[in-house]
This record gives sequence, structure tokens and C-alpha cells, in this order.
Amino acid sequence: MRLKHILFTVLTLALFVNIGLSKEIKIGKKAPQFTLKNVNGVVHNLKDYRGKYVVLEWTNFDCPFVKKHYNSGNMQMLQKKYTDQDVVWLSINSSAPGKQGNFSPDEILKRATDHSAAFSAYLIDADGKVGKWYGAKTTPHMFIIDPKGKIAYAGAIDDIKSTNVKDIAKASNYVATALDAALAGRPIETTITKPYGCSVKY
Amino acid sequence: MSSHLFGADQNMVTVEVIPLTHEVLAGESFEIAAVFSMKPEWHIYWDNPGEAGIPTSFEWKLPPGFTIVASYEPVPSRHVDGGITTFIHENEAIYLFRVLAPGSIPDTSTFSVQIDWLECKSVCQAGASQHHFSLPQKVAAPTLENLKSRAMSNYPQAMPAGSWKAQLKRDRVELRNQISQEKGTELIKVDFFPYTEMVYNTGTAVRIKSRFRHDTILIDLLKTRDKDPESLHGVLVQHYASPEGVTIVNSIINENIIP
Repeated sequence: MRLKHILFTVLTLALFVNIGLSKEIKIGKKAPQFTLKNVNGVVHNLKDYRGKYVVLEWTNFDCPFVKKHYNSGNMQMLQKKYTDQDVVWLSINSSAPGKQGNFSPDEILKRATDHSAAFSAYLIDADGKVGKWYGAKTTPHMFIIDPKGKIAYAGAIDDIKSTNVKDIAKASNYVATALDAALAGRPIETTITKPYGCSVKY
Repeated sequence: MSSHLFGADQNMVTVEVIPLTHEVLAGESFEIAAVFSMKPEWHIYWDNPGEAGIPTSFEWKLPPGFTIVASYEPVPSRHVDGGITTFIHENEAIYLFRVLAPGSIPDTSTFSVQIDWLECKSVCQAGASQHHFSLPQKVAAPTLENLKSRAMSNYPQAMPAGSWKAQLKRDRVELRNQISQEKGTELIKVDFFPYTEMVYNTGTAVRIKSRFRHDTILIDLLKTRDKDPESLHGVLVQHYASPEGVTIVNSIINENIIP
């Protein structure tokens, strides 16, 4: 009995360690399942979106790189364009309490309204668990999950690593290119890139 | 000589651009230093910033015929925050640019540079500045010599070829020292800063395995890498302990990897 208890504890520990250290997302593999609440306390479960493309956008409204894409209207344009095509767009904040980007629900709503954000939901991951399951390193850090629940893209939003708004027009947008291909039934050519941005404030 | 353009909170990081000469000679080279001074706990990022951040960029406007023939960046340090590893510069970082003048030069040559960087502490903000200067100019020689000496002391030196042998072992590179350690000398700490992104696992520590006075350094690779690296190219920082104390050796390593 004692041996069974020890074995159970060891196996459980191994499982948690494996989840906690799961930092290398693999393209084509199942996306880690999660349940997170939005600013209004409504629960969002990733598996509820099976059958649709889902974009995960790690965000922090005070990060200069996020500001670049929101102040220019670029991120909102992408959100609207693709949610209009039945893509689910989840903006996720994994900033720990007291760290940059960890806002009150009122502040989040204000920022989202001021920006005319068009995400499907803004989810709060204050303990960073989901961010770490996905290996989210930067804000922004983008993931696309296909209708079968597998990772189709992971990485940067575009190919010019800067805080300069003027670079948006010159850049090749990886997320848009991937979604356009996927929604047209074509394979995604660039499936993984190095993300750039501020570090996620775990 | 310079202007700090913007930043949410100014003066966390300031830059001075200083030519290390008071005149230009036709056909000869000289250096220009960009001296970054950072407030405590603020940092900027190395050429490969690691898992977040972006490197500092320099956009030079040189007089006709002038070219930058070499550039030097100080050795970075490893910074881990919230489980995210980055390669940073803190306190002071002096970048050096070697400029070659053409065979024929005007009486006055004017240089300008736009510098952009990301400065972070617990928050991040963009930094930028523009700098202009002309040569010749009056500058005290000892000041320039001190600055150059201070700069060069932080640059890694080229490692003698063949002193290490790099071998690929599944998901890591093993770097074996080909020279026995002197008796009483021990490699106690090592770090590796790769120039190549998305190949090395920057989030795991570089480890030492010592046997019979030969050291092997173990550097993990990312399991999600596109392909195996053909050469180990980056900055290797070695800390050696001996009865005389600790010596730090900073080297640029560029060693072919044996599969």
C-alpha cells in the first residue's frame, strides 16, 4: 500500500514537472488545453473552440512592441479581419500581480475600448501557468491552433523586430500570411519563427 | 553632439558617440565609440538578445568613400527573470566601430548615426538617439586612449583554432578542451552566448564535465530546431580558479561541429 502511494506520488510529480517544463511547443502537436477567465469572470475553455482556427496573442498593453501594433491599429485590424472569418482570437495576459501589464478589470476594459480592440476575449493568466505551458516568452507572442486542436504556427507577429510603427507596413506579417493560407485550404509555409518583444512578466 | 529623442522615462540609458581620433588620415582607419551608460538595474540587449528583447541597432551615415570595416560589442551577461533568459548589457557598454577613410578626403568629414535600443528593468521602453560630429576636432589624446582601453578590455578575443573540439551528441553540443589544464587550475564556471538564434536552448545552463584535467562543456540544443548547427559560433566565457585567484577568459569561438 505504501509502495503504491509512493509510486502514485512520484508519477503525479513527474506529470506536473513535465507540464511545468513544457517550454518547447511542437508544430503539428496538440495545443495544451486550458481554461481561463476573461475580465468579466466568464470562463473560456480552449476545447470549446474545436472546429475553428484559434489565435492566441500574448499581450501587455504597456510593452512598447504591443503599443506599436495597437497604437497603429494593426493588431485590431488583424483581429477584426479574422474574427469576421470565424477565427477565434484570444488575447492572453500572463503578467503576475504587481508586474507590468497586470491590470485591473476596469483598466483592461478601458484600454481595450480605447484601442477599439476586436479580440474574441481577453483572458487573464496571472499565475502564468498557461503562458508557461505554451512557452510564451514575449509580448506579443503569437500562436495559431487549427480546427483539430493542433499548433499550426508559433512565433513572431511579423518579420521586422522593432518598436517603430513605420516598420509595420514594410514587414511581412506571419500571422496574416498563415491564416490566409490556412483559411484557403493551403499549407502554412512558415510555421515557426522567433518571437520578438518584451519578456512576459511572469 | 547628441540628442535623446524619446522614451517614456528619459535618461534610464544615455549614449555618447565619441570618435577616438581628432583627425582623419587618408587611407587610414580610426575608431568611433558608442558609450552606453545605464542606470542601476536597467539593461539593453546583446546581438542575440536571447528569449526576449531586441539588439541595439546603428544606422550610420558616413561621408563618401568611408566604410565601417569592423565592429565590436562587449561580452554580454546572462539575465533570467520569470524563467525567461536574455543576454544583456548593464551599467556600461562600449560599442566600437572601425572606420576606414578613402584615399582622398575633404578638409572636414561629417558623420551621423541613428541608434535604437530597448531598455528594460521590470518594465521596458524604447530608446533612440541621433548623433552628429565632424572631424578634425580637438580632443585630448589621453581621454581617447583611456576610453579605447576600457572598451577593448570587455571584448572577447578570437580563440586559437583547435583548442576545443565540438561534437554533436543528439540534443546537445559537447565542447571538449584539447589542452590539459595546468595542475592547480580548474574551470569552475562557463557560459556560452550563441550568435545563432533558434538553435541553442538559451534557457538551460551550460554545464561542465571534467575528467583527467580535460574539460567538456555541454551546451543544449533546442529540440524544435530546424536543423543541427554546423559550427559552434558565439562567445564563450570561462572562469578559471587557480591559487592566484579567478581568471575570466572571454573568447569568440567558431568551431566546426563534428556530427
